[in-house]
Amino acid sequence: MGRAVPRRLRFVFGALALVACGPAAPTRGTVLGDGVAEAWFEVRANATDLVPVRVVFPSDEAGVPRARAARGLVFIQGGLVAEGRYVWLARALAARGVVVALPRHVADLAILSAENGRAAGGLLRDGPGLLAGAVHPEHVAVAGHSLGAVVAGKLMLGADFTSVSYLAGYPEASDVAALSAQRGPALAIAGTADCTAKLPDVRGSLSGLGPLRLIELEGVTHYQFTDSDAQDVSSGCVPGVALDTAHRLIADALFDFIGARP
Amino acid sequence: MSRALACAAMVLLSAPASAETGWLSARGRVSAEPRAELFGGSQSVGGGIAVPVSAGGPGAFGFELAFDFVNRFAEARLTRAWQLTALRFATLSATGALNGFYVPQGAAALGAGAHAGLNLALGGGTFTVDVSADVGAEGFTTGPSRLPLRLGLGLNARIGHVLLSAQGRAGADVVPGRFFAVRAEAVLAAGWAW
Repeated sequence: MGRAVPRRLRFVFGALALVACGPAAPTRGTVLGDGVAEAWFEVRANATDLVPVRVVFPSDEAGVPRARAARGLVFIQGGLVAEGRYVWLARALAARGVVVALPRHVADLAILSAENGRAAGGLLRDGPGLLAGAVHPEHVAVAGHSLGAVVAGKLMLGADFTSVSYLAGYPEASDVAALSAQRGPALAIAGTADCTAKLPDVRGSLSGLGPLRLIELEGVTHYQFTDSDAQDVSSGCVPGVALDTAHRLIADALFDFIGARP
Repeated sequence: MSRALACAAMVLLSAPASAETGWLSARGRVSAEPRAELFGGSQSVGGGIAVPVSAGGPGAFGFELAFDFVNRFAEARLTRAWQLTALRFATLSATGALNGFYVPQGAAALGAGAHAGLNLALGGGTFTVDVSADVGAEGFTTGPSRLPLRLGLGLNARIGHVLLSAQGRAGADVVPGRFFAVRAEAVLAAGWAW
């Protein structure tokens, strides 16, 4: 009887520790095919918030990373578009050796929890488990689609990332001067058939931003940057190219930029 | 309009909580008796006590412990409430609070903060609708400081010794030089007043 109480206490403290400490960082991922795997991590943002981060990386057949000191990319989802709808892009980049982190955000609105992207960058640089040594800490870029491009610009201002890419979007007007002064490498990819971030608006918003490379993809629409262009089609915005073609053009343009960075 | 409301509800339901002052003290009518409450909500569970500064006095001390089961950290809150007006239909109180955090996962962090709030109760001794506003400043060993801003709404009932309440809070943490993060939480609480 005298020994039963400590055992109960050990159970209680053990249960509390399990609840408090959470899952261990994964040491291998789930194979997606084509030499790419994914794994989920949790990272702290704003000191107390636990943020789920999907990481897509080049792997062997067992889901173990092939990458050592690879380039990293934090990708910020568009407004009200689930981060999972960009896995096609993460897979395309990971197949070429890039480790991509896709952090989740409150209500799929990155602007409401922008710090999550910074935390995901920290995860790539100093990650535990399978990420240990996988990414070169000085080669972590940020990119965002649509509203995510606004957040990507704000994250770039924090000087945590080596370059920024705006996909079918542009930074907030109030950030343009600071981004230009920072003179960090920047890329913008715009679709000529985009009915949401219309090309003239993109050109106008980026006009004061430098240095910047703007790539205009013929016939590409706003949601072709995601895994489906059904939302464009249902609203009468007709793509000029097939989704597969758009995906290839987008992935090529983004990889050429990220891969060329020193 | 309905789409905007649905969007707002989705944001509030999915936003993380934390960085907040006490639940027990966010009331315009400060209890003249000691009371204890347990609360549980969309993000956290916990409990606390509040005792009058002096028997039947115009203020109270409180202490709460809360565990955020979504983000897995613990928070302790020490509160002081001042009854600013006499107990009438509209009753005002002010609160001050100190809170401490223990964040175990990853790079374990400790945090501390201070809060100040105003609370207005509309109603009588049996039922009140409470609105509150709270501002604070918090710092952590692992990150930058943040400035929590909150608005709260509560429904509080007292039936004999039994206390029942439903409360919600929403707002943002402003991180100077960086961004802001939206916050929201709702709790149900039950307690006993002596």
